[in-house]
Amino acid sequence: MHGKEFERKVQQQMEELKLSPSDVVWQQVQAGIKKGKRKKFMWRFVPAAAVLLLLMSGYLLFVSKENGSHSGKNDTVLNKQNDKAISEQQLNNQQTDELDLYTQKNKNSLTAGKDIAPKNADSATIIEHNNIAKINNSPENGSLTQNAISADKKTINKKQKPESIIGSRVPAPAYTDNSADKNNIVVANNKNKRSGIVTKNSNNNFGIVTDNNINNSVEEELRHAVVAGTNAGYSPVRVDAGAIAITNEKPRQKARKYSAWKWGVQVTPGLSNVTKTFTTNEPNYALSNTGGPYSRGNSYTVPNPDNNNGFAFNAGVFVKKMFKKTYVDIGVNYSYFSSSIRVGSKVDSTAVVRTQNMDLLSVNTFYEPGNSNTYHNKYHFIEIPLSFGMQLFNLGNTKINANIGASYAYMVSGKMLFNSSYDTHFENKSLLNRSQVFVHAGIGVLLNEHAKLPVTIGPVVTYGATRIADPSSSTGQHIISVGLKTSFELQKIF
Amino acid sequence: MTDYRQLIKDCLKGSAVAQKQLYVHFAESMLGVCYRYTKSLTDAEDVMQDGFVKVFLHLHQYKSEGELGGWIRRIMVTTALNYLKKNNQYKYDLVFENSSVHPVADDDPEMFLSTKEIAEMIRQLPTGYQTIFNLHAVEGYSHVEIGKMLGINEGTSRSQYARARGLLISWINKNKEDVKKKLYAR
Repeated sequence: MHGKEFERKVQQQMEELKLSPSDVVWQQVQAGIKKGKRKKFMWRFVPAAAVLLLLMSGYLLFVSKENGSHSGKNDTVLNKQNDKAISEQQLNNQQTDELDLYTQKNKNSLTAGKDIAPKNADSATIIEHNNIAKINNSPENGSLTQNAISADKKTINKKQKPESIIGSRVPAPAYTDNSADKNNIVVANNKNKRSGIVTKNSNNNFGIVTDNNINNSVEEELRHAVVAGTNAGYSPVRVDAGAIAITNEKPRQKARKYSAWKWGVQVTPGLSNVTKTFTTNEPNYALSNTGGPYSRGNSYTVPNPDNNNGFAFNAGVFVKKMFKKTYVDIGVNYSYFSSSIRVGSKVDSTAVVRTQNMDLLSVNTFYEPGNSNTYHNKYHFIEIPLSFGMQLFNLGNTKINANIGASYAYMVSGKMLFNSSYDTHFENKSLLNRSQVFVHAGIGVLLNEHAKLPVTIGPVVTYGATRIADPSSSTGQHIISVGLKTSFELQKIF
Repeated sequence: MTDYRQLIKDCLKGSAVAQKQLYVHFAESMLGVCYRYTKSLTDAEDVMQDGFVKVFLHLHQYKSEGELGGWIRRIMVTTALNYLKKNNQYKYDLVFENSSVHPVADDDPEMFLSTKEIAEMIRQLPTGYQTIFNLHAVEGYSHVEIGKMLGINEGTSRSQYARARGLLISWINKNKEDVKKKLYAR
């Protein structure tokens, strides 16, 4: 304030100045409030729509989640054991990864030979027992407990006595190992209640067949130890329903090595706008020193502030390095942002505008204020993004990740509408800030991770940390964009 | 100081009655503020209309740290400045000559004119003088603040203000009656 009397009196008198507005003013104020609230609502709708899309994707994925268990669809159904067979309940009591082998001397085991010989069995079964895994007890004691072994470890240590395992109760599935010097019945834990007849074909090869499919050898999946066998002379062994389960599944393939590196492509369509920085107090009217475009910069030339949403698009390639639950990715993108402004008629005439340093800038074309035309601010970038991601939820074949990152972008082409101090709209490229730094954050839903073409889809928000216009002509406009990012990992295809 | 807290709460809830009440309470004085920055009552009403829309849309930012009337007044001043820059009638006159030399008028004339007469005198100033005089003499902004608001140097603001003040005083001192006749004849 000042101490001069003149100013004091003027101020005092002006504070008493009151004029009555016309009635229509209040009606227009009400209309303006409604319009302003609609604009705010529209921007709130975009994140809500993105969250809704995310929830819908998660729901659909959860509902259509594939059953990944090994069901043994092609199991060959074997007949049930006779009364002397081991009950299924006994088998069911076994732990998953254990083998419970019984000799034929065990009361609960299958009886050997004559007692259970099938009617049409005229070939003897020869089953040899080869230890291919750790065995806790010797076969002579009548019970063998064999630990689970992997399919890859198939070393034969020694032969057991031939009488040990005829009628063995073993959890299946089982397959015949009819290589030159083996002739083994290889069995594993049985989760299925199956049974079959162990027989031998003309080539002295063993097989386990169903009652409906005699003399067909069936390849089975090896999961555990080999059942001991005996020499020819024993009748075909009919095993309990629960003892052996035969599946037609092919041996499990060697597990795919987990690749820590992935690469792919991504596209992100969305909306963009130019806004004032969130760090400034404009248009925060809580400050005493409020103002329009001039209040921050000392410039006559400022970007036109009345931007509406425009189309945004981003596409590129990326390389991703995976860790346990986190990842880092880097790529190269083409980015396009735009916003629209309502302007008046175009005037093809030279105009002179003044920049912040009082330098004069000549423009050959400018636009009058008005709403008859639409001008589009357009920005084309080549961008190098760097992102860090973290897994939030694991739903089996689907994962939900969060990511955050930054990118350096160079504007290869762009145009922007500016206002002169006299509110003339003119297009200018030299006042643009071509080097930009963007920050981005988003959520992604990774679908079909183990399929040939994993897809990640989710919303992403991008914000330009640097001003879009040269600082000397800018009051803090930044690019902001919201989009739906879809990325495809291609390393399994190529 | 009147307690507007409940009124503000009701306005934030969207009560049309509360909003009308707030508007009615401040409309007359705010129209006076807008009138000093423009050349016509119609323009002043346009400015006030835009200003009140901003008041209601940004009312949640009012932190009760100062008077509500002062907060609304600052919004009106800002809106008036934006209006001057965008309006064809004013923008070409909103010129500020950069000069470090400015006349000094230290005398304080006798203030015998009424409020409306003083306001009319201020409105007769060129737009640039009028704006800076309002911002400094009436609103109380410093020349540094005015420089930032208008995008001019502090020195330019001082010189423009000095010219405006000198012009007003000369009108008051030398042509008191003539100015009165001129004003009343409009």
